[in-house]
Amino acid sequence: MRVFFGLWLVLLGAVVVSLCSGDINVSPGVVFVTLVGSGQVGAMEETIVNTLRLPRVCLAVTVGAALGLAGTTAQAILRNPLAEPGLLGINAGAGLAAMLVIVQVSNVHENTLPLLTFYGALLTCGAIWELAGRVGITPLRLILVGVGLGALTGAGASFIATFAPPADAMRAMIWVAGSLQDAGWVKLGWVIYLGVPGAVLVALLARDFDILVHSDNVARALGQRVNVVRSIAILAIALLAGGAVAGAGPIAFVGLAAPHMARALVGYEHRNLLPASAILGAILLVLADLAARRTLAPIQVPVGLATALIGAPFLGYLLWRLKEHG
Amino acid sequence: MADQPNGLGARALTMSYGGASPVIEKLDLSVMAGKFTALIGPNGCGKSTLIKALGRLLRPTSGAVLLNGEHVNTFGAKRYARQVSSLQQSAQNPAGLTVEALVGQGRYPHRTLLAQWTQQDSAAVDRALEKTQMVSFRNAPIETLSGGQRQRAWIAMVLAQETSILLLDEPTTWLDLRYQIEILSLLNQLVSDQGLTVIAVLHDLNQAIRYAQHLIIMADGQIVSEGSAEDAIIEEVLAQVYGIEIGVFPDPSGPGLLCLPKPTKS
Repeated sequence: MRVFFGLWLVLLGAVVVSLCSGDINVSPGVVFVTLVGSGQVGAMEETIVNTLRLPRVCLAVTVGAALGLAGTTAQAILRNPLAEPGLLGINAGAGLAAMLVIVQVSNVHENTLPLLTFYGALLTCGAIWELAGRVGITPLRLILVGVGLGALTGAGASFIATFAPPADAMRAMIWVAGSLQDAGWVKLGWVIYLGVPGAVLVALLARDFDILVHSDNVARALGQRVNVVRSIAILAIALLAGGAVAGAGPIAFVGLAAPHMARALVGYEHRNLLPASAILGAILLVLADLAARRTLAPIQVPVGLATALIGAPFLGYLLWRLKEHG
Repeated sequence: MADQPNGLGARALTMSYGGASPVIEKLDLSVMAGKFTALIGPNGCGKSTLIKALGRLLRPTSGAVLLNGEHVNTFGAKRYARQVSSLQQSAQNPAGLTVEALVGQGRYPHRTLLAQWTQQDSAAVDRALEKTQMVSFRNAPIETLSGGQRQRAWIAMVLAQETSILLLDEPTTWLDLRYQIEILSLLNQLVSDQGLTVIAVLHDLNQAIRYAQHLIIMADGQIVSEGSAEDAIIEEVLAQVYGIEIGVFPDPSGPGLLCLPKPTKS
């Protein structure tokens, strides 16, 4: 499809621009030679491209794609255009875990924070499923329980931050804002190991999402085991969004916006919608990160702030459109 | 009758929601194969619950729904959906969904997890579009269609399931009179031309009499009257079921009956 070709092209462009620009600009040609690793390149350029910018842009691409997939899945199973992975308490749960780790543990191993934040996300997700399932799962009940639990864990995180030493609280706040700042291959590994199984699961469920968006009864009448599909989908969201949060902290807006943009481009069927959301999520996050790095340079704004700043007007636009169409 | 091994039926079926008193209690039913059956009765009589139970959308509290003598809970979900399709009322239509894509979703129970779309799937979709005269709307988004066309598209979707039994929960509600007639004629045609077994929950007594060959009148979770219009539609039964006086007259426009509420004294 031509749309996909265009999307890949935009993503490639965004990645190249992101690799080239920074406090020290590197020309695309030098970037290419550095990546291939064959030519004579200065040690400084090589360090900048290979150890600073490349892991960062890779992290932005994978986290953005994971959030796009998780958002599309959440909107399908919750049947709500305002749904995003954060509604299932994933960000809040991960945030609480991160706050605990950053404030309580003095010398954090590189793998500890991603691991524990992912556990935090998974645990909240499981708790929501369990609590909402007591009286029969409905999309609305999942959302309400998710919002409630999200508020609770958010309050817990704030409580810890209030009594933490200022330096720790500061570091935690940067994490909670969502940041690609100290991107590295270890974090990227977390996103990939968690995100790929999640992506496989949602790819297998694409056709199921197409019929589940109508209503439980329609899906059931067609022979779908609705609760099985829903629980696998929630597991997939936990893997995708949990992986994203483990790699970059909670990043708002991408999971909400990417599916809507994708829907406008490729229509309604999930076998197109899912890949389009993934690419769009990647594009959004690479661009947001570029904006976060460059607008106030040399100050680096957390990327989560950039996405939130773009996200708020978009949300307003979405509500306005929903109202227009009744 | 209920032990009859062929076709769809219910034996001592009891349905209840939560711990509340049952909506349907010990109901026996045997659906007439190859006929159009109308399920009628006042609000809350259990007719929607019954059709959901027959469609395997709700689990019986006790008793059983049987298909060809087999307990429907022993069927896999998809296997049942290849034999019995059911159209639910007021389903949402996602924006941008085309008629063809919707009808294609009717192929869900015929497809396995990794199976590609096949020639048979395409052929089934084409047949369903033809039967419902929706061929020319194939690429139209559902939200651009009129109420009647929309409902025909949904019927095409369940026809693409290629089942021999079709259940419909209030297929004409929310439609104006012209579209109601259009849908009922279509169902009638599917029964007479394709030999489908159709059971539909209807609200309008006169439409049920005219278009269905078999009527089931329910009240308080029980079947109170069943048979052809002449056998099932009795003034005393209607008065008892609906709680108002309803006159039954010969239809002046042809064979059949006409029901009309009698004026109440004020």
